[in-house]
Amino acid sequence: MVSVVSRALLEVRDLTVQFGSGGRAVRVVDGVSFRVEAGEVVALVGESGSGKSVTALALARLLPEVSGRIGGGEILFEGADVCGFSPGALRRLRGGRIAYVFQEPMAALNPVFTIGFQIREVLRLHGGSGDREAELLRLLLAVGLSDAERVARSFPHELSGGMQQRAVIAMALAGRPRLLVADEPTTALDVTVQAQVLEVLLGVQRAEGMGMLFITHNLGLVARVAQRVLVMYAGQIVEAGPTGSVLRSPRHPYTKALLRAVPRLRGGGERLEGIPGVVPAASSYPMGCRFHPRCAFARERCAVDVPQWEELEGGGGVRCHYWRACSGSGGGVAR
Amino acid sequence: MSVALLEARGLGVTFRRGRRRVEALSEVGIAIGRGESVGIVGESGSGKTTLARVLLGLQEATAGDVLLEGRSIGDWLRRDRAAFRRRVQMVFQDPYGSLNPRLSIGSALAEVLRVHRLVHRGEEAAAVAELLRSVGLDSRYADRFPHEFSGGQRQRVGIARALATRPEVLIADEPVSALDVSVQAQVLNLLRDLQRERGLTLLLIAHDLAAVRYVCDRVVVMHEGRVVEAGESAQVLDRPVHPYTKGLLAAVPELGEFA
Repeated sequence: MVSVVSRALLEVRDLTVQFGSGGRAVRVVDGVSFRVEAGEVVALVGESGSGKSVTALALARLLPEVSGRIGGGEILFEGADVCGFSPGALRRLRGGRIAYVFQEPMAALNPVFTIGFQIREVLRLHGGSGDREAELLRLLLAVGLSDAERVARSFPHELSGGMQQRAVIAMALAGRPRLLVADEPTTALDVTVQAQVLEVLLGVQRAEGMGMLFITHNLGLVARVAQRVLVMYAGQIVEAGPTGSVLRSPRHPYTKALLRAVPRLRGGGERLEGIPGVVPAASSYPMGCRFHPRCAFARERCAVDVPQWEELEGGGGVRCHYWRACSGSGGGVAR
Repeated sequence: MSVALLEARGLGVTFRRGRRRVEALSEVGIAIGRGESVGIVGESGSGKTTLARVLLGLQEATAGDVLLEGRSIGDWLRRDRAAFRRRVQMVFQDPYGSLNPRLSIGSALAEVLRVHRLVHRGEEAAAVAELLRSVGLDSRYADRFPHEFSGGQRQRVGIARALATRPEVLIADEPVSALDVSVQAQVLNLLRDLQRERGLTLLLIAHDLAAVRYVCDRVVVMHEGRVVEAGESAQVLDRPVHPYTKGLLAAVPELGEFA
C-alpha cells in the first residue's frame, strides 16, 4: 500500500461527521478541509453549534462511534490517515502525538488522584524512558507552576482554576504532542488568569514547535494567538486566511457580521449589530448558502445555489457567491 | 445635592468559614442616580455578585447600609417589602435556571403580574403580550416553554420577567456571558435601549469591560471586595489610574490593530 505523503503536520480533507443513522442522519461537519503546519497556530472560530468542537474531536476519532460517525474524507496526521488507524494506534495517538486541552479543567482532571499521579500516568503511557520524576517537575515548571513539588502532591480541588488549567496543559505536554488541540482553553478563566495561561500555552507551543488548533469564539483571542484563522458556520468552513487579512478585510458576510457584533474596549459606542436568528440545526440546514437567511447581502441565487469554495490569492478562501460585491461595504447583517 | 436613587454606604460583608473570616465586601460606597447606567467590573472573587445580592436585599450587609431614595433597605424590607421588590429587579446570568421548566413563558410572566397585583385578570394576556414585544419577542411565544427558546431568547424572557413589575432599578448580573457574541450584541442593545428609552436605572455586573463600556455611563472597578477605581466609562477605560485597572485592561485580548 502506498501511503499518501503530506508535508503538513495535519491535513484534513473533505471531512464529514454524521450524527444519527439512516434517514435521520445529519451532517454536523460537512466537507471540512484545512491544514495545520508544525509550529503554526490555527484558530477555528464560529458560534455555538457551528461544528467546531465536533471537528476537533474527530481529529483523534474521539467521537463515540454510535453517535458521531466519520462519514467521509481523510484526516492525514503526519502523513497517515487517522481514519484507518487500529485501536492500538489510536491509543498511542491520543494523548501522545495529539493532545487536547478543553475548556473545563475540572472535567479533564480526576478529582480523586493527585496532579502528580495523573501526569505520571501520561508519562508512563506516552513518555520516554527518562527519569519520570524529573520530567514531571520540568513539565509543571514549564507551565509556570513554580511550586512544582507541592502542586504534584495536590488534588485538583486544592488548586485555583488557573492552576488547574496549567496542570492540564502540563499533562497534555507530557505525551510530547506534535499537535495540540485547544478547545476554548481559557474561556472559563478570569481575564488576567486567561492572559497568563495563554502566555504559557503559546510559550510551550513555540518552544516545542508544536502545531496548535485553537478553538474559540473570541475574536480578540484570535488576533492575539493565531497565524491563520478558519471561520466555521453550520458545519462548513466559510472563510479561511491569514489572521491579519481575515480580521482586517473579512470577505464572507458571516465573518463581517461576527466582527461587527463585538463591543470594543476603546473607541466609539456606535451601535452593535447582532446577527439575527441562530445557527441552524444540522437537521434543518437551509437550501443554497447556509447563511443566507441571516445575511444582509443575500440575493435570490443564495437561496438556491450552494456556493462553492473559492481559493483566494495569498492563501485562504471563501464560500460565498457575492463576496466581491460585499467587500468594502460595511455591515454583514440583515436588517 | 439630590438624593441618589440607589446608594451603598460603607458596605461590608463578612462571611465566616469556620474560624476564618472572609471579607467579601469592604467599605463599598456607590451612589447611582435615577436613569444612570453603571457597570460593576472585576474578576471572580472581587465581590461584584455579593454587592448585587446586598443591593437586592437578598444578602444582609454586616456593615454599612443600602438606601433606596434615601431610605434604608432594612426599613424597606420590613415595611414595604413588596414595593421594594417591584422597584428593584434582577436579571440573572442563566435565565434557564430562573425559569420554571414546566410553566409556559406566558404563565411565568402572568404569575409576576398576579403576585404584585399589577393588572386585572382580564388584562393579563394583553400585558404579557406587551412585555414580550417590549423585549423583541413575538407575542405568540407566550404559549411556549423555556426549553423551546434559544439562549438569547431566554435571556430576553428573563429581562421581560424583570420588567413585568415596571422597576426603576434593574440589576443584571453577567446577563450576556453565557451567550454567543452574535446574540450578546442583541441583548446588550436591548439593555441599552431599555435604559435610554425608559429612563431605567441600570446596574450591569460583568467581567467583559467592552460590554460595560458599550452600555454604561459610569464604571466601578472592584478588586478583593473593594472599589479600586470609579468614574466615567470612557475615562476609566481609556485612562485608568489604579494599577489593578491597568492590569485588567492590558489582559483583555482585543482586536486592536486589526479591524
